[in-house]
Amino acid sequence: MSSENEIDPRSRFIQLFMSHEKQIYRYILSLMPHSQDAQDVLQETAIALYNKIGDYDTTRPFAPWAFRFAYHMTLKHREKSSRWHRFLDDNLMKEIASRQQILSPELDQRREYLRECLAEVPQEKRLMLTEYYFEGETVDAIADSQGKSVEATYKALQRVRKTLMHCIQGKMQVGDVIA
Amino acid sequence: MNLNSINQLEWESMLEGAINGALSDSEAQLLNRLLKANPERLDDYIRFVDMHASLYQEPLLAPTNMADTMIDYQTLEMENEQQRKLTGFWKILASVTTAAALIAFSFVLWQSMTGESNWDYLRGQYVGLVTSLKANGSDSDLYVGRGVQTGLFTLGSGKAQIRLDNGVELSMRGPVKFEVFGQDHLALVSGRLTANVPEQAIGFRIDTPDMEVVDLGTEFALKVDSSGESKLHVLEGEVEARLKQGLDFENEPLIIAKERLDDLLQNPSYLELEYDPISFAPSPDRDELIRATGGMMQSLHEAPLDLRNGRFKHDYLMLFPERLNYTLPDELAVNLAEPGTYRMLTENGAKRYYAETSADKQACEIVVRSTIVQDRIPVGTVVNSYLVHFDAFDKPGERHKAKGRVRFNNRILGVIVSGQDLNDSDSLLGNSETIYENSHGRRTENDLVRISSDQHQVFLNFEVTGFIDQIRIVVEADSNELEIARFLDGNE
Repeated sequence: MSSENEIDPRSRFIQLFMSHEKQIYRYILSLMPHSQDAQDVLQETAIALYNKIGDYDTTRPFAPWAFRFAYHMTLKHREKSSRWHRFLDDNLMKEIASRQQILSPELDQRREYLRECLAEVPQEKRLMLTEYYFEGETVDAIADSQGKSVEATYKALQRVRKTLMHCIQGKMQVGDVIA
Repeated sequence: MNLNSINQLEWESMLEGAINGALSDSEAQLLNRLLKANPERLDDYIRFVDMHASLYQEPLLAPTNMADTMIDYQTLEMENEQQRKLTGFWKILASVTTAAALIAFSFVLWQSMTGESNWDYLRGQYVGLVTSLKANGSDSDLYVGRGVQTGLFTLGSGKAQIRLDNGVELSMRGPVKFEVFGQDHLALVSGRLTANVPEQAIGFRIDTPDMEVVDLGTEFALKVDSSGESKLHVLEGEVEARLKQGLDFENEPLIIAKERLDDLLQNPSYLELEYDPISFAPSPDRDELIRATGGMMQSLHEAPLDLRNGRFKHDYLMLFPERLNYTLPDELAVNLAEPGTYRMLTENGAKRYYAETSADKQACEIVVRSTIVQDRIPVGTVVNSYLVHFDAFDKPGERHKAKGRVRFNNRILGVIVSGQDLNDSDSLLGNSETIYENSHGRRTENDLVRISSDQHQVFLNFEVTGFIDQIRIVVEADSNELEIARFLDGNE
């Protein structure tokens, strides 16, 4: 007899997936570092997991189980694309997936520092990041809206990312010294 | 290039190229070698890409709290619904013995011998749609957009195409006769049929009077002559095939792979190695301009000829091209053009919406009247026009709902949702051979239309009560995005 408190498998899936979605997206993006492709793979992964949620062993952590699906969905997506087919070969993808797990605690720390570093980014640059990362604008569209050349906009984005990487690295080193 | 000679600037430039998808073949190979050879570079790559991914999720960059998910859970729900139907069918199928299946097939043969036809479908679940028809009118019951149910399907002459709910594309050349048992299983009684089976439908099966073919991820052509003898040609991928002997199978199934035909010890009698496009049905057409559809949205290869209210009896949101590569002779007003989630409300609908909808949900939607004009597409723009049509004839008076999405390869320039604007644009953007419902009632009301932030996808949540709903989607045609998409899909 089913209890009223028993969670419907689909509701359970949505709860689990939503709480791990960002982690899965980052995992996919490390294997296929292009946002739109990674989002497509994320959606395909969600469908595959949704269909197999009955097979999920609730005594085990969700993320590794989900990563296996994400890995195979990335491979599947890569097969369809000549661009990604040339990008990372199978062995390297496995190596990245494995190494990413090992680096996981460090990456968590780096994300905390990322927020602190972002807060220091000037408003104009942060607006550009918002347009690119949140609003999904293309570099062409951002260049157009800011009255700059496409190349200059690429460079500007590159500089901000570089600044953020340096900022995070600096905080990591200070953290290491304090620890 | 020597791996050790890469300096920091070149390395950073390579990482940027990777996330922008801008690496050349040789640069991609170099990155591959670098990451394999140098564990520190590998860690740097992971750190950089992780930061890039984290920026997509960083609340500091989001003006509202709407960046919580990238997944379209509504679509997910719908796609799962379809999948569950599929799974349910397989469970049923698994419980049916081979003998029972053969008895069913014998019944089909009996029907074909006695000439009895159940073309007038019994009511039941639809399993697909007729997406294309090139016939001379001898099959008066057959038309583009017609729902396909279980039962006998015949095409007297000409060519037709069907898409089943699991994505299987069937192309046929008349005369052809086959029995539909479900979206995963057909029996070809006579004639010519070619099936393209996507990955999610692997296991799709076609019986013929003397054999059984189970798809393993492929495209294959079958023909059955008047004596009931079958011939098979594998166009792509592989199938599992075996001959029947009376009510039993002659031997173990044989795997026939297009790329490994030489491995066969002996060519089975039913296998035709050469593909003759006349003696078999042609390979099914593909939608090159549409990247994907989901939910109840099904794309047709051509526009139906009659779109007046009450013509269709199924629950699909039908999407079809009306005019392609059309140069606008005048400026075109479109109701919606900007990314966002729009709720089109009548006055009464608005009262109900505000009373019944949570503040959180309201915050995610933009309430508009369908008569809004967000943009005017300039004269001279080359566009593709698509119509989405949802009928509710079969359930008069009932509130009737359907959700679906379509992603185009090219950018969406605008969406027309008002009855007046749909009527006005029929002559300009409509298919010249189609009869349209020239009425304000075709407008969207109390429906939801979402245009994605990249302006390539439209999500619809339609609700009708006794009258059709339509929207017209105007997509950029003169664009190199299609070529890029083809390139990325490896279909150059």
